[in-house]
Amino acid sequence: MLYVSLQIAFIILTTLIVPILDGIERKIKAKLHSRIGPPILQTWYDIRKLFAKELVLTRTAFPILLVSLVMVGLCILTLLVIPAGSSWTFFSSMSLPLLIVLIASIHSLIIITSIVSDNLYAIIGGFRELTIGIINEIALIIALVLTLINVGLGYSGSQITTGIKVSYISAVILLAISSYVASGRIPFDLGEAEPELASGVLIELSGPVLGTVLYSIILKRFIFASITALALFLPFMRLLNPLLAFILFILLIIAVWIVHAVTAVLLGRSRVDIATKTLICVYIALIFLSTIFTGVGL
Amino acid sequence: MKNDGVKTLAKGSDKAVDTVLKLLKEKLSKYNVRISRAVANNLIVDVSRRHLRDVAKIVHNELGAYVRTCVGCDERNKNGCFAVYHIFGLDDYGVNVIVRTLAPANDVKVPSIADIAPGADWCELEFRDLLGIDVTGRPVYRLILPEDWPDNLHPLRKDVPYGIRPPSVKREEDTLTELESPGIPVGPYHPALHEPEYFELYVEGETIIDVRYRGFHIHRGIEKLGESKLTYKQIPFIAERICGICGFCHSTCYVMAVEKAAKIEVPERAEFIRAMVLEIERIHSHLLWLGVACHLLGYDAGFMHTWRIREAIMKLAEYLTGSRKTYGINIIGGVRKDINKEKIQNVLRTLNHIEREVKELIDVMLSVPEVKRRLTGTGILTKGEARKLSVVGPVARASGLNRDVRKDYPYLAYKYVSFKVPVYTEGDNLSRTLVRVEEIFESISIIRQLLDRLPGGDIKVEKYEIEPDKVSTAAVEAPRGEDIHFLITGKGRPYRWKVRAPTYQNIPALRPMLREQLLADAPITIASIDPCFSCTDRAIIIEIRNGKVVNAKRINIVRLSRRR
Repeated sequence: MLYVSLQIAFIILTTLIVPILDGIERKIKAKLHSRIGPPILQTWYDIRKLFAKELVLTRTAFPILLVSLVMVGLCILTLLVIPAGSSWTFFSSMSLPLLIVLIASIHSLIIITSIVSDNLYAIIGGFRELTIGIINEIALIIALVLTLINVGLGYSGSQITTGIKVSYISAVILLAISSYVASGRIPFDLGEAEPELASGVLIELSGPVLGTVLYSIILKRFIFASITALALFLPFMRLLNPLLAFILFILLIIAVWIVHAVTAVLLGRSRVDIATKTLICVYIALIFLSTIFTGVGL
Repeated sequence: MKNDGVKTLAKGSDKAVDTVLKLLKEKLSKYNVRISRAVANNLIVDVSRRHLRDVAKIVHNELGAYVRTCVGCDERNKNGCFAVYHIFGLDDYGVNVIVRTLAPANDVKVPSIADIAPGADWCELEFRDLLGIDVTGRPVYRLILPEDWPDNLHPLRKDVPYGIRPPSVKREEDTLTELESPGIPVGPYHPALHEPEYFELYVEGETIIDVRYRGFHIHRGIEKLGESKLTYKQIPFIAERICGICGFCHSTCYVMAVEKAAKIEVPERAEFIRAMVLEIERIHSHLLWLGVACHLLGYDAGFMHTWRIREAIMKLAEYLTGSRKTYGINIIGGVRKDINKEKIQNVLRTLNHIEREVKELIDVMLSVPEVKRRLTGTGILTKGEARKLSVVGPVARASGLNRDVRKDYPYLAYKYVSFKVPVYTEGDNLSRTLVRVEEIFESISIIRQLLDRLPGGDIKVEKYEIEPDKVSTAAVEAPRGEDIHFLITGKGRPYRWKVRAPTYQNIPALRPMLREQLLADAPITIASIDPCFSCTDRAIIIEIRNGKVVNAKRINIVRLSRRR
C-alpha cells in the first residue's frame, strides 16, 4: 500500500513540479549566461497563457491536439512504471518491456505531430527526430537491459545487487548519454532547431495545442532524467526505507535535471549528419565495452 | 593582375594616379577614349557606348581592377544625356577608374558589362529601375522597384518630384526560373534573419541545390531625398541612418566624398577621431556578429557573453560621442566632439578590459566541438568566385583576397598606424569568423596607436565652398567591407549621390556558398557575410503545393494565410 501511495504521490508531484523544474533550468541557463532570466514559475505562466488562448482547430491542428493529449497520457503512464523509492515491483516482470514500449510510443507521437502538419519545416524536423530517435532508442533499450542485468534485477525486480562493477558504470554512462539525447536538449534538439527550422515540429502549433505539446515535452524530459536517476539509485534502493528512498530519488532526479541543463549550456547545436555519426560511434564503443564487461563479470 | 614595381608607389598618391593614367592611355589608345583626372585618386575615362565593353574588358580583366559599383545619372539638363559611371578600383595602385558612358535622352540604352564583370550585375539593374537606362545584352528584371510600380516612372530622374506616390498598377510579373525541387522559403520573416529579406532554398533531402534571393524590400529612397530636399550639411545625419550598425561608416564616407570634391583640408585631429570611432564601430559590429553566429549555431552561452562584452564598447561610444549608436559627430570639414586626456585614459582602460574578455571568450567559443565542426568546411567561397564577384571585406579576405580599403585606398589617419590585414585561404565559415576575430584585436591596437599619436589643433574647418559638377568618390572599410559613396556636386546639395553598402556586393556570393550545403548550415552561411538588409521591402511567396511563385501583394498574403 505504501508503494502504491508513493507512486501516486510521485505522479502528482511530477505533474506539478515539471514546469518549475523547467523554470529552474531557465534560471540556471540565465545565470551561466550572465543575465537575470525569467522567474522560476515562468513556464507555468507560459502554459497558463497558452491555455487561455482561443483553440483554433484547423485541418491539421485537430489531429495534433488528439495526439498531444495521448502523449500527455502516455507520459503519465510511463511515470507509473518508474519505481519511486521502491524496488521495481509495481508492474513486476512487465516493467521494462512496458517502459520501452511507452518511451518508443512517446517519441513516435512527437514525430507523428510533425508529419501530420504539412509544413515543410515541421516535416524536416520530424524526419530529423526520426533519424536521431532510431539510433538513440536502440542504445537506450540496450543500456536499460545492461543496467538492470548489472544491478541483478533482470526483469523480475526481486533481487538488487549493491556492489558497483565496471560493467554497471559503463552501462549507466550509456544510459545517461542516451537519456540526455532523448530529452531533446542541445546539441540534439534538431527537430526544433530554431534558426533554420523556425521551431520545426512546433511551428504550426499555437494556443492550448502548443501548451499541451510543450507540457508533454517537459514531462518527457522528466522521464528521461528519472531513468538516469533510477539507474544510479537502483543499487542503493534496497538499503533505504521506502519514504527516504522516495525523497532521495526525487532529489536525484532534480540533480540529474540540473546536470542536463548545465550540459545544454556548454554545447552548441549539432547537425543531423554529425550527430548521427557521433552517436553511432559513441554507442557502438559503449555497448561493446558494457557487453564485454558484463559478459566477463567485471 | 599584379604589376611589378607597384610596391614602390604609395597607394593613391599623385605618382600612382599618373602611372595608371599612363597605363590607361597605352591600353585604351585604340578605343577613342578621353582620360582625365577627377578629384583626388579618381580618373575618368569617357568612352562611347560602342567601346564600353572593350574598355571594361581591359580594365577588369587585363588590369585586374575590381568592380566597385556603377551609377546612373540623369544629366539631361547638362548635356541632354543620361550618364552611366562604372567605377573600377585598382587596389594595387589605390586609384579609381571611373568609366563614363553617355546615352542620349532619345535612345537611353547602354550595353551590359555584367558578363565581363559579374560584380556589376545588380548595379546595372538598379540604374535600369531607378533611371530607366536600358541595359542591352543581358536578362533584365526588376530588382528594386516594387512589382506594382508603373513601368515608365523612374524615381531618380530629375523631372520626377520627391515623394511621388503613384497608384498601384497591374504589370506582367517578371519570369523567374522554377525548379522541380521543393523551395524552402527563408524569409521575409524568419528566426535566422534579423531583417526582412527573402531566400528561397531548393533542396534535395537536406542538401541545397540552388538558391534564389529577393531583396530591396524596404528601399527608402535616401539618395533621392539627398538630391532633392536636403543640403550638404544635413546629409551626414541621414547618411548615418542608412545602417543601424555601421552608420558612422556611411556618414564618414559621405563627408569624405564632399571634402574631396571641395578640396577641404580636414584637420588631422579630426581624422584621428573619425578613424578611432570607425574602429570602435568595427569592434561593436564584429562582436555583435559573433554573438549572432553563436546563436545560429545553438551556442547561446557564447551569444550572451559576446553581447555582454559588446556592452562595454557601446558605453565607450556613448562616452566619446554622446550616443551608443548613430553618433552624429561627423560634419563636413571635421567632427563635432573632441577628446581630452581624461577620456584617453578611460578609453585605454576599457580597451584593456575588452581585449582580455574577448580573448577568453574566443578560446572557449572555438573549443566548443559543435561550433568548430559546423564552421569548418561549410559555406565555401573559392578565391576565383570571390574575385569574379568583386566581394569585399571579411568575405573577400577569408577567400584569399588581400583587400582592405584602409590599406589599398588610404584615408583618414590610417596611414599613421600599423596593422595587419588578416587573410585566410579556406573561404569557409570558420575563415570568415577568424578574420573578424583577428580584426577585433587589430582594431583595439589601431585605437591605442591613434590615441598615442593624437595630434593637437582644431577639429573642424568652418569655411569652405563646394563647386558644382565635381565628380568624387570615397570609400571606407566598414565592418562588413568596402562602403562607397559616389558624388556629383550640385548647388547647395549633391546633384547625384549614390551609396553602395558592402552587403550589396557580397549577397550574390551566397549562391555559390550555399550550393551543395546542408540546410542546417544555411543560416550560419547567410550570416557569415554579415548581411545588412535595411533596404528591403517586397516579398514573394512560394505556394508549396504547386511550387508557383506569387508576389507578396497584400491580397495574396491574406489569401494564403486564410487557406487553412
